[in-house]
Amino acid sequence: MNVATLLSNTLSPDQAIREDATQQLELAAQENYSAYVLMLSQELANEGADPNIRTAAGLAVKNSLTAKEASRKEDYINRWLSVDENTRSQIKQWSVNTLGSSNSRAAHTSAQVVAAIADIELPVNQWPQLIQSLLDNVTSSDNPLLRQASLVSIGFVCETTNPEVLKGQANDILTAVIQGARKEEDNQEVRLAAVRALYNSLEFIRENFESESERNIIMMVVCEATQSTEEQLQVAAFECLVRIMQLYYDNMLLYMEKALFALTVVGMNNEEHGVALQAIEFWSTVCDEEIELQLHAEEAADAGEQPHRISHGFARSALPQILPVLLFLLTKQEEDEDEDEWNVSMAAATCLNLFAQCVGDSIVAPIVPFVEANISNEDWRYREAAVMAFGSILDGPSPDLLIPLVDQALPLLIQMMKDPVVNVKDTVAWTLGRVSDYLPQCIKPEVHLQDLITALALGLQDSPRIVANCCWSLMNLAEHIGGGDDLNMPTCPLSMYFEGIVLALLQFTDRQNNEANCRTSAYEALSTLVGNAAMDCLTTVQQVIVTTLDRLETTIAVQNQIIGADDSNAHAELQSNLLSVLTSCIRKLSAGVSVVSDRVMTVLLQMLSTASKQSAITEDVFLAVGSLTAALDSDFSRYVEPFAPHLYSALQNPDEHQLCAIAIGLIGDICRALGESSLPYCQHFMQLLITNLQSPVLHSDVKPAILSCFGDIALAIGAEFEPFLDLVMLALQQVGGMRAEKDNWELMDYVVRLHEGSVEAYVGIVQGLGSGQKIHLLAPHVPAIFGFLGMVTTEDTPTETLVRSTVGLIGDFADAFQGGELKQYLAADWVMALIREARSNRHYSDSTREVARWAKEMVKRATNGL
Amino acid sequence: MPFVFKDPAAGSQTTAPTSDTPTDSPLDTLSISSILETTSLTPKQPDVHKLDKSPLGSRTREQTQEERRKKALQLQKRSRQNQIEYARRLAFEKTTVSQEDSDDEPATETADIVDDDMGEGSKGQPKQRRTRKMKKQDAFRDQVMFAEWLIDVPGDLYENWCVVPCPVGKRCLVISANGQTTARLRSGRVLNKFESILPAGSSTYKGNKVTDYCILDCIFDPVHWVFYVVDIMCWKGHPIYDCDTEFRFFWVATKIQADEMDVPNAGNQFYKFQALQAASTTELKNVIANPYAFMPPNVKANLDGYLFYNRETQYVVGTTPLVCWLSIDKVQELLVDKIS
Repeated sequence: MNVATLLSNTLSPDQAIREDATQQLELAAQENYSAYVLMLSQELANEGADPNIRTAAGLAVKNSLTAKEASRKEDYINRWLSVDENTRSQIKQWSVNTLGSSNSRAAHTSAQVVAAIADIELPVNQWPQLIQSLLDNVTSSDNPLLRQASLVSIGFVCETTNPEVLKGQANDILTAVIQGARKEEDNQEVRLAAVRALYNSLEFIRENFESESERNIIMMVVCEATQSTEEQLQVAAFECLVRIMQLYYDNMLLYMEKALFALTVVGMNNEEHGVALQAIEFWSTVCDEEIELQLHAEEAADAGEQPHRISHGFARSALPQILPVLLFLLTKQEEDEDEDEWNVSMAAATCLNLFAQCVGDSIVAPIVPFVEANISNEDWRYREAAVMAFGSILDGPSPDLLIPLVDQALPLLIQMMKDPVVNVKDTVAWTLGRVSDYLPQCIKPEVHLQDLITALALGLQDSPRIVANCCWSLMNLAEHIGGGDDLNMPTCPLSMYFEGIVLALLQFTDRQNNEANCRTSAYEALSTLVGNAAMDCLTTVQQVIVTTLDRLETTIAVQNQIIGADDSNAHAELQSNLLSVLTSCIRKLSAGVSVVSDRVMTVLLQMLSTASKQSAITEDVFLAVGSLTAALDSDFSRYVEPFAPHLYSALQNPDEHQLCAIAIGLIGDICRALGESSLPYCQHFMQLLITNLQSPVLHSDVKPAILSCFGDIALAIGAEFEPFLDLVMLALQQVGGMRAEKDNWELMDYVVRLHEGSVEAYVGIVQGLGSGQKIHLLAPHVPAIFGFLGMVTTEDTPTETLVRSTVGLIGDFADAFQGGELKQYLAADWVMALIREARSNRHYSDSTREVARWAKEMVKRATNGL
Repeated sequence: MPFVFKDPAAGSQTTAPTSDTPTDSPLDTLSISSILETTSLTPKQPDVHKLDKSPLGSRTREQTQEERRKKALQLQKRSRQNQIEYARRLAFEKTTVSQEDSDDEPATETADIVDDDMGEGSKGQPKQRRTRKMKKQDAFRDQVMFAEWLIDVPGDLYENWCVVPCPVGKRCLVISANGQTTARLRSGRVLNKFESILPAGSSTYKGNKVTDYCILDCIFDPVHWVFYVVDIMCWKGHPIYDCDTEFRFFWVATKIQADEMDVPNAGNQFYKFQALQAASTTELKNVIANPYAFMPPNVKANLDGYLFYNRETQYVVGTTPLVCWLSIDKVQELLVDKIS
């Protein structure tokens, strides 16, 4: 079978034929990559072949060269570079030639192939003449198709290849691209390709952009392109402006005054949606940049420095002109809003939100008249726009300014939950959610709460999107005016409505349908409500836990009848939701959960025994078990025996590193709950933890948690930690020697987490051995430990967490060695300086200062006394 | 075997799932739809700013799960912190004792006049005086479960409450640990430190001086040097404060045995401990008629008033409505007149 037939078969509607062809091609690639890729390239270059087949061949070549995943990409690069040079030359020649194909699809595909090869070869200097030959095509060919495809190819190369590699040729690329993008270019296709290539090259032409004369030319060409009559070209030009604003904000002052301001306002009013969307996006980007710059300025002011970059305040000065346009566009809603389809009114709302965050108070006065004039309009578009405008400004201006307005509007908004038009209700529900999120202090329990909750509960009977937003409101109310997550709040403003809301949510969630995530949202709200229940609502929480257990048992009973990926995903999601509620109930009921704890544990163990190894359900079950250990404390001991095997198997499954991390946390939970009684399990725990610490495949994110877990175990079993001490010390020493090179932020962050974990381990060990009268075992390690602590807290700037735990550890050492044995270490200058820093740094929390105060006393005693 | 700590980027590479998603395989992409997608002449739309109008509904399962994970981690951190600080607080206690030996100024007595009153000052108690001494001992300030003044008889008085007749004295927290015993006033100020017969409370204690610490809620009779034990928070290292009232009182009654804790011995030359008794409110009339019959035998101090405990409450720190104080001069007006 020849390659054309095979390729054509990969496009067959018959699945068997398709799979067979795919397999044969795969085999060919494995057997002889060089021959395979040559054959495909030839097919791509074959002007006589079916365009579909040529495209398929080209894409197969491209896909054999590029991969998102780093390790695979590495393999592909090596595979390509090991193909002999003649073959590669031949393939490159064919692909470049195909750019001139009369078939635009083949030409376009070969542009992608060229870019894929360039991505590999340019960084290693293997295809030096490529850019020049593409540029020659653009500037001197009279074949418009070749010019176009060459520009597309340049665009792809600019998009994929490392900008550093292209920097040297930035001048030439820019010249060619600008030439194609000028208004003098007659061929609109060529011009479009050029503007798109320009978009992709914007990032690495920084040096050119810094030069005023070159910048003027680029800006002129882009601005002219926005004035084209071709929609696609206008859109591409506005996209360039958005990108330029992102990359070169600092240089924009002049152009904003001269041109951009005026032409984007006109652009927003353009009848073509694509153009209007990008013009709006331009201002969203301006706001985004300026919000960033304000934060930057605040940080600099905090540190007593001058900011490196300053905001030109474009958004603020443009507000009077832009705002009326945005408000007008808000009223251009689609009749049937499809959530997935982006439209002008939503883009305007987005932009308005960003303006509110950017300019703050000054947006309020001009918005209010619009809201007042339209909120009761007969036309739903105006009502919706008014509510949207109101909801959009809730985040940004100062609460002092907003509170009276919200106070005034709230009764009307609540009323509007009964609006006949669903789009209006949807926006009202969203706005109420935002009020309860950003300005919960406006919701006066005695004035608004009853009506608000009634409206939200009624909203649960509305369309799924509205349900989700009502649930969001309920969730925010629970978080902001509920009883909090501690267990001593006797009552709260929500208490008198608590049972009603909970019953409504339980009733709503008793359904199969989860459209627009409405059921999940309701469960999330339920979970948050329970988590923030005050003590006078515990009876209702007991009801919730019983219903939740009933439902979980039902899901387990039907488990075997679930067939198909979609159904089983839906089923798993439902179980996750229920487990989330269950966990909240357990936390809230605390010791009170003991009446149903046998039932809880039975359900959880059942789910574990049927869950697959990589199932997310296992994670949620583990979280529930964790809450149970904290609630039952030492009474949890009777469940450890049946549960431990699941814990062990999670600890031996490095592929599921998230689960592994949770399992490690659970060991800590169990140790805290059981104290010394956890001893029988600790041998096994320690073994698995050590193995995981040695594992080269376990995700490194998990390792800091293992260190902290050593501390939990040591604290629980005290003197019995002795057999593990040497090995653990060895691991901690190794961590102590780790450094991250500067600039590698990711690694620096990781090393900090390892160091934090180490200190937590030391704290547990010192306290544990101290209470077990075995602190002398630690004496030989003291010099190394203090060396480590001194290093991590004096090099760089330590995090507050690290400072707090280190200072605490120093205090623990001082407490454990009261006889002056550690005098020379405790009296070190850095120890005093660190404690002083922790006591006096005004950015630190009270708890840090508290620990430092304590540590100071401990050190004083251990160095002065006796 | 060596321990392996790698940088996270390398780690994620080696643990990336080995099962390929279809799009990663070089040839699987040859489906018609993907060709149309990748060969379309329009480049991919750049990302634009998008307002999320369904913030809860649009959360993915991964996001909500991630939140649950974070919440659990945060709670774990908190419990770990609590556990560690708990141990440290005990250690701190020793230090402040030694510190106050040297630098506690004598002029603090006046501040304690209010502190050792039994109830919070809702009945014209001069509150401002408390502010005079607020600087030190914060860790121990307000650590006693403090009664509200009884204003009204609770409706469930006979069902859910019990009553403790209390002698005149200073309310204090007694902590025995590390071979020493310390009594602190409500302000946190050290009233006294000494060796006692309490577990871990003397240098001659035979058991584990570190782990066997006790925390008791007492009324100190400074004339006769007796600590009357009202309530108990910890005994020999076992926390009891999270048990309900009846259990704690049972514990007091069984642990603070007459003839054991109130006799001087080698370690306890001067101070005695006597358990106060809780009576059921059904006996309230008898209690009021003859309070001394419901107090420890040979009690030398005069009756100061009654503490009413809700049977279900745990030991909570600070002022609580679940414990009420009725001073002896209000008994007639607030109780006898109402219940008769």
